[in-house]
Amino acid sequence: MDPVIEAEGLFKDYKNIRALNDVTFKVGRGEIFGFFGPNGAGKTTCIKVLCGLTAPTDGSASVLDIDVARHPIHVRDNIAILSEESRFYEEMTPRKYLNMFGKFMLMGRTERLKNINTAADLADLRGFLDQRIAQLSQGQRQRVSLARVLMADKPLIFLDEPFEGVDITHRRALREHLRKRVEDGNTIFFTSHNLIEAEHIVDRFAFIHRGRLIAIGTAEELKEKYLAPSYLLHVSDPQKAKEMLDRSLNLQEIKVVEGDLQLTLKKRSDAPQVARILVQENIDLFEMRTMGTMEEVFERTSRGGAS
Amino acid sequence: MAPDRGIDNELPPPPEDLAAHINDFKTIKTVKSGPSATFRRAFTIFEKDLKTMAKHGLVSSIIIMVFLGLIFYIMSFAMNEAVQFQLFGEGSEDMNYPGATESNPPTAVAGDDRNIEAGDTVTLDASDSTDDSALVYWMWRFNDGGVEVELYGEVVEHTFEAVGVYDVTLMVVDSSWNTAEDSLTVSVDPSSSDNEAPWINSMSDINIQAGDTATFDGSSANDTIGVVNWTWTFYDVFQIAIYGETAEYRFENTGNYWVSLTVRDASGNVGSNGMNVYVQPDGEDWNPPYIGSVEEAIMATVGEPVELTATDVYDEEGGVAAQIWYIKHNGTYTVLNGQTVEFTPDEWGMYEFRYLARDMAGNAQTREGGIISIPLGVDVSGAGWTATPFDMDISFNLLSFAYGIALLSSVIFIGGLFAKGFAHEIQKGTLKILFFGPISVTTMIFSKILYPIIIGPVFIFPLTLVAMSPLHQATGDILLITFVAYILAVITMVAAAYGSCLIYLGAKRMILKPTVVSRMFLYLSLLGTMTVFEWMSFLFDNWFATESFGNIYSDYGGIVALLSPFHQGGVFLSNALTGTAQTPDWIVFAVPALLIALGIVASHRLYPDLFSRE
Repeated sequence: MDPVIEAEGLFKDYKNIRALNDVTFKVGRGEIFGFFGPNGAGKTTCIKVLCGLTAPTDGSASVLDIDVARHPIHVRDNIAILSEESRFYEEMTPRKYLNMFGKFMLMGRTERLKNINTAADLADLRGFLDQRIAQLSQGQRQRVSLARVLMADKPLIFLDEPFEGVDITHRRALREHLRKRVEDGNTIFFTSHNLIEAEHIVDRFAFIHRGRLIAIGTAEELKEKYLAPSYLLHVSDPQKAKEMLDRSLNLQEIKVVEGDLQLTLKKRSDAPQVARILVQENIDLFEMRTMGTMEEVFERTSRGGAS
Repeated sequence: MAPDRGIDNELPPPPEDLAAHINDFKTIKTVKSGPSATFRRAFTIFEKDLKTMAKHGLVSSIIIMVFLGLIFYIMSFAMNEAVQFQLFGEGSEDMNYPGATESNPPTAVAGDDRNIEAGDTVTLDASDSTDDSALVYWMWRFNDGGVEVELYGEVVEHTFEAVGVYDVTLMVVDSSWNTAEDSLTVSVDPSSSDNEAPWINSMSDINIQAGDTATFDGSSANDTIGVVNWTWTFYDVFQIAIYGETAEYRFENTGNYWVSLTVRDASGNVGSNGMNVYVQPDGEDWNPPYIGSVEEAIMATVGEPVELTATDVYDEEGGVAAQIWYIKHNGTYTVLNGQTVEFTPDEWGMYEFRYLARDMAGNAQTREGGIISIPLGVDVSGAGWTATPFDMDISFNLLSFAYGIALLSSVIFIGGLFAKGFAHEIQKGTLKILFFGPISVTTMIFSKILYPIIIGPVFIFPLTLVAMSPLHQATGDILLITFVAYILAVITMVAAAYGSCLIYLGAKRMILKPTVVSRMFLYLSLLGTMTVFEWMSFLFDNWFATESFGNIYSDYGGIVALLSPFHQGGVFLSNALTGTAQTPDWIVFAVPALLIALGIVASHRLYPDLFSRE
């Protein structure tokens, strides 16, 4: 199977603005691919190009092995899109709205009702399923849009800020639902401003800034690449480990915090020696992970380069 | 590579290693929508629109429909009544003719002059006569030995027994009552060396009373080789011709009658003389009955009875003894008795009538008139009704008329409803929500096409039918024409919807991938554009008094124009507005280009935020 999404050298110009500048990436089957960047970075433009809603100025893209520029309708037949667009048919109730989209997806009546109920539960619509959309708050409207996407049985869905307006309880259920979807072989293209929350769900990150893709990879890969070599160690004897490592390696900093050991190397190449030293000293190493957040990664990359 | 337009390039280049992160799953089978899916989705959109429209616009639509129906009916009725034609040529009285006519007169060709001998039979052939629609009536008139002869038909025969020079007049009439005349001369020579005409010695006048029979004696006629024919002619309501050396005639009506006798010998030579017959009343009453009025011009439909009636008929002395209607058509008479009678014309054409009221003493009073018998409906393919409603020279056909009405109804209703649905969505920005679903441009356009198709029968069809109903047509023809006009209006609206969608979505940089079906509508929209060409050009023709625009269509777009009643619709509307048609080529082509440009600019101005940039 080829990648679910393949973007190759995408450019998109609007008058004097280059919204996409040589964007190239691939998204594999069964992953939640996060696409991040500040407002105006090019996220929505990229989604529009991938969904066949607008043509790129240059470059090519295929989605589910379908050439987007040549067969945009075929692409949209097989994907679901949650946009940041919040306009609705005000006269409708969420139930009728979802029913209409169920018809667009050519679902039978039984399937439609079942999917509407499931999606309403996931997006927490139960309290206002039969109220007019005109009476709903912005957050509630966003959940209606989310339900529209969730009720679709599509192999690829685009989610632009899917957690907006969803309360904490339902966010967790929603994350679990999305995870289950990808485990079943579906793919999610995900964008959000909230990188902290995204870390809980996204498998692979791509950062876009001023239309240009500046970083791409898993959280571990990006932190490893763009952040200082700081690690958090969970060991059997933190105090002894601190002494041994401080003596054996050229460290910038080492300290024990709440029973765990935090250290920063002066040279990233010394990292493999950490485990070896601890084993020699008969200290059990339960976990060793890179420290730092994806927000820090983004800040580093968007400032202009890796460490 | 996209051109570098000085856009910021300070950021680092994209990461080099973008190896795919691919998991192993079973191959995805993508689905592809077919025409059925397009239709189902389009219907869902239409269903949504319809509910909104029904909620907000149903009552106002019904009110507008009733109002428009009245307007259309009055307009059509007034036009129907206003249309006039001249019966039997220039100078004759204008008469109302239900429906419309074309004003191009036919060309009458009577043929060459003839020179024959008495007793020869001449074939009169009018088949070289022409008309732009169809000739339906041929009448040959001449005087033969004192008898007014009228022969009817494209090719007729007549045997000229009498020597003389005959001026034979041919009148042809087309299906729109336009007439033309031509004449020929038939010179008849004696059939033998005898060229001496018979002579008649003086004849004595006759005095009788009304109701008596007069006897005519022609024994005073003489000839060198012998008289073979005696013809007595006089007018009693119509011309009366009686043959024989002696003849009798019962005079019912008082008055002075000039009775001519024409005699002919075996060589065809003729001589004539005459006498008076004085018919006195039977009693002292010399006053004829009084006749209030008789309708002089009566419109009738072939095969449908018409009532003839005289009003306020009375006689002060003795009362009215007889009331008689003499109806003449193609040389034959129908006589009906009574103050009110019913008559059914069985042919196309003019029926002359005389109404006569006679009292007990034989005093008579007459009134004259005509029944114009027209067929029900006109030949739609010929279509040529040229008329002058509202003092304008309008040439149009029924289909054009119906198409104009249907289009007007479409614009008001479908356009209005379309605006409610489509434009409302554009303004509210909800349209693009649909595109986030599996809705193609074709689906969206098709959903709007359903407006005229489904709502049309409720609005367009009845309104067109109302406008057509005053016209003089058979019910089946009216239904057929209305249906065709409705279909054409739907096509026009579809073309307009398609064109506007394409312009709009193109302006918004949507990826447009029209399907074959959708392309078909593009061709139709081009046809619609031809209509715009035409209508606008006719207007410019009039404003600038330039060369005939019609030639442009016959030269460059003749086939399109002929195939399409848009052409006729254009003729109808523009002519109705202006009167003539003349536009230079460059205006013809510049106008639609300008309209399209304005459409693009307007769509940018009106809806700048739809599918807005980041």
